[in-house]
Amino acid sequence: MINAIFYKEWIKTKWYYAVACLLLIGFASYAGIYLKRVGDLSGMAALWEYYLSKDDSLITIIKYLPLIVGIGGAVFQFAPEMHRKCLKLTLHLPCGYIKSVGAMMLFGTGILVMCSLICFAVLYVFASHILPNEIVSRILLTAIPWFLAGFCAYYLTIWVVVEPVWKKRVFQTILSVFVLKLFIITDTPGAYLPSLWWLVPLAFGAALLPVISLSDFKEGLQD
Amino acid sequence: MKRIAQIYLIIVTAVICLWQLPWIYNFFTVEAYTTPFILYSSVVDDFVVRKTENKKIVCSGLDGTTYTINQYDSILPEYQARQLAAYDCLPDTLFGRAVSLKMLTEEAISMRIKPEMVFGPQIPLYQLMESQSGRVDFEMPDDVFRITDSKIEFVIKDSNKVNEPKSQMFTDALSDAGFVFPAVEIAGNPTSKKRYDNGYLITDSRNCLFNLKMEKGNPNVQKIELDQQIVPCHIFVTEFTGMHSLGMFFDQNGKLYVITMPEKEIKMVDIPPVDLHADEVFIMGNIFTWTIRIKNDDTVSWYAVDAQNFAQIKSYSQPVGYEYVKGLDFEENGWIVPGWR
Repeated sequence: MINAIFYKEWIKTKWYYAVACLLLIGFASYAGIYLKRVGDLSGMAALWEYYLSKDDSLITIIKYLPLIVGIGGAVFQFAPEMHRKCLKLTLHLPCGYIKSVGAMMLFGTGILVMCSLICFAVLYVFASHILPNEIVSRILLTAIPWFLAGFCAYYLTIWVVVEPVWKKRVFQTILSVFVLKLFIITDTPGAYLPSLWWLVPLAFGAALLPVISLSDFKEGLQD
Repeated sequence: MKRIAQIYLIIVTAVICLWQLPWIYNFFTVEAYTTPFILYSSVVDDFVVRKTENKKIVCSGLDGTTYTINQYDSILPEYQARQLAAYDCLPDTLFGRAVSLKMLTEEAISMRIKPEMVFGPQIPLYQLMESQSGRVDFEMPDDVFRITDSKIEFVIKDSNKVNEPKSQMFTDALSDAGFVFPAVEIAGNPTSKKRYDNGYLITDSRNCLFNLKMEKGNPNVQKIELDQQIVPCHIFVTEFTGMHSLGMFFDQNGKLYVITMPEKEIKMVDIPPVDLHADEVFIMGNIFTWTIRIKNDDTVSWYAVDAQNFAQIKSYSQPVGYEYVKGLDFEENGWIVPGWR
């Protein structure tokens, strides 16, 4: 049953995730090549001094991309189900609605994890070639909250999309915006290091929220 | 599962409200406040306030005496020397000491220490400049150094590779001077915009203080003698034009010390302990006195100290002139850390 759901999600979203993955890898590669080109044109010494004297990671071009990909993934997965009113069928599968929707979310999460890891690998390969470990780790640490925002945005968007009551949707959207703001308060390299312990559960804990909307949906609430 | 989701939702909603509602309230209600600019005047033996009211500069003493701008210049000749010289009013002696415009401007110091400078995110790589290049203008070095558990390592910027011979030479020099790896505090001013270079001040694993410089490519390491009970915690290298100090540091109790030059003597500054997590320190000094301002969320204090022995002459405090509603805040000294601020 779960494999069948995975297959259904694959059929539905493969092109979206293929494009999203390519975009993420493309932008991460661009950020990496940009570092290299700055080093080539201004001299590696200038690039190192920039990192040591400025609060800038030089990879802010990818800042909002994981967030957009996360929102898009949720919309592509769940909006058609809501539009065609076929989510009801999913909720009545014999394996239970939490398991069936959980499998759909697991599929999306798995793809996002894969995209994120590829992005980090690309950034690491480019940066570690020309920069010392201390700066590379600071660059990667800077990107971690952006990717966590991507996961959180994915779950929050599902929460909003599957909510049947419009008034609740408005509240959920406003709350989601502020929650996502927590992940992008500053671009200072490494500034989020002391906060990763609560940002990770905040991001992945949002996966619980669609249960509330699905419960409303199952009970047939509408306005 | 739904119950857990609801608990998560309540917690997140509460956090967002505690964060955003006080912020919105403060955004619309807090009024502009400027800390008055106060300097100690040796002439009138009091602090002198300078502020702008209705687009006019108003100068006064703490006792309410008002001064014209010309009087202000005259009672602060050490700070206003250029202005006095422009009117040919600069005295040739001050407090029994012969002075000149060059001397007064070169001996003037200014230094600001903010919590984020001390506790903010920093990359643990440092640039050791050539102190005796023979050139007037400094050039940034072509390598950076890091101090590991057992050695100092110089990494060449162009190749991203460790310069082994230089690393070994500096490791040996530090060890020969009695430095026990690893380092605890490392402080320096790696900038080409300075008149001379004092190198780095570094504490080792036993909290002993060392001055590391590079002179003609070679290491010059000097141990600075400290009392046993003084542990330098937050160190700053000073490269003031007057060359009368090597650096300053706050000890484990927040007491401020100055390392004088050329004798490298440690002198305690007679001001109350400073909590650098919350206090911003601003020092303006001249050949005779220093005015030290310590500001936090609640109070602003000014201390006048003697520039030679750092004994306190006078002090003045006032509450910070604005109030705001505290709330959940996530930014502290450049880090993202939740706190009630």
